[in-house]
Order: sequence, then structure tokens, then C-alpha cells
Amino acid sequence: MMSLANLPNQERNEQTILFMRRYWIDLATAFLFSAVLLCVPVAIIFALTKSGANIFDNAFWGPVGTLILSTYLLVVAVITMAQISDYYLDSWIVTNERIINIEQMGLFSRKISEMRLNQVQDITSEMKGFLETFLTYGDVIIQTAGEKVEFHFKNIDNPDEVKLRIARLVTECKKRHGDGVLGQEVQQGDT
Amino acid sequence: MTFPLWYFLIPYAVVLLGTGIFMFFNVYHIAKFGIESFTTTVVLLFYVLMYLGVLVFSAALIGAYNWSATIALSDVLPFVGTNVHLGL
Repeated sequence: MMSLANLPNQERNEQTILFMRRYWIDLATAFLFSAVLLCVPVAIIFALTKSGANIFDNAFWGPVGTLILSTYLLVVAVITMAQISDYYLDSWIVTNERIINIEQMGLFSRKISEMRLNQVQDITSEMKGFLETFLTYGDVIIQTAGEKVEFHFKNIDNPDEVKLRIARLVTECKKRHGDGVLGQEVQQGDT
Repeated sequence: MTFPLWYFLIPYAVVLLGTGIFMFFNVYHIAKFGIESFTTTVVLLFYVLMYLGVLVFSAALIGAYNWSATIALSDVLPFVGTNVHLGL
């Protein structure tokens, strides 16, 4: 397990400032989708019972229908788990030195990338649509100069506040280490 | 032509194995890559309980039937064993 107090390649004075996941509405959507999937067999059984066809008493369709129902429930459980894992493992960590982007893509693919704060050139926050504006969640896009490196914090809580905090950290980091964008690296301890 | 009902348990066992492997990988990912916190423990517990819940519910339903009973194919598919005149 990863600890926020002990990040991979952590520097001596590095501290975790922000830890973010997507907004809870993404998780709620996943649960809602699973709930709708669960309603399908209930509706079918209800409709069949209402029409007088009790399949569970049938010598063939009783046992076979039970196996189909069980298979369906197992698949829904696995889909729900996959969605929760995808939500839970997608995260962004901002320290006073760098930004770490952790992205879980499906069950067997995972991408971890990082960007030093003094390389950041542009930070954009974005809230689009009624729901995002009403619930104050949205995206933050962080870009470096030259290279096409871009971090996209998707559907995070309070993107404007996050943008301001990262901008402050970038300014402080550039004071300590120089501007990574302009190539003015300053040795630690220099002012 | 008759066949025992337990034949259907074979593909079901394959499904159980497949979903079991997926469940294991989900638990493994959360346990290995999750952040050290109480929430991670709750998520792991939720996965295990959800999967066990479905298994217990399924076992209760499946256990209610006599799987050693045989069934005639003609009972399931009424057209088997009859001469179908297409009228062409």
C-alpha cells in the first residue's frame, strides 16, 4: 500500500499538500448504474409472476433460471467492483515539490506520471454545465512549456481553489529551485 | 434423449472461476496500490462481503433443486423428435 507520508522517490523536505480523487458524483453514478442493472432481473421475475408463469417451479427453467440469475448477479458484482476500483485508484497528489498523476485504466493497466512544480507554465480550471457549477466540481488542466506534457485532474472538487493553491505552490517552488520552464535551475539553498 | 441437470453446473463453475479471478484482481489492486487508510479497508471489506453475499444468495437458490434429476430434451424443446413439415 502507498502511504501519503512516504511517497515513492520522496525528497527530504517534501510534504503532501493535496490528495484528490474524482468528485463523489462519479462514484454515485457507478452505484446508480449497478442499481439499475440489479432492477432488471427483479422486473423480469415480477413480470413473469404477474403473468402467472412461475418459472422457478418449472423442472427445467427453475434450476437453469437460477443459474442464469446467479451468473448475472456475479457479473454485476464484478462490474461494480471494477468501477469502484477505477474511481478509487485514480488520484492526484500535489506536494510542495511535484504533482503525481495516478491513473488506473481498466483492471490491468496503470499509469503513474509526475511533474515538477517549477516546470509548470499554465494552470486552467474549468467547470462546465449546470451540475458542475451547482455542485462546484470540474477539471484542472496543468501544462508545462515546450513538451506536450499535460495533467488533467478530472471532476475534482472545487477546481478554482485547487488551481489557486497549486499556483501558490508553483510560485514558492520556483523561488526555491528557479524556473524549470526557462531553464534557470537554482541549487537547493540558493536564493 | 435425457440428460442430468448437473450438466448445467459445469459452465456455471467456469463463471464462478472467472468472476472469482476478477474479484481477486480487484482486491489485489486496492490492497497493493490503494492509499494506507481506513477507507481502503472499508473498500476491501465491501468487495469481499458483496461477493460472498452473492455466493450465499446463489447457494441458497441453487441448493433448493435436485441436480441429479434428469430431464428429457423433448420437454425443453418441443420440436425435437417430431417431423417438421415446412410445406415448401
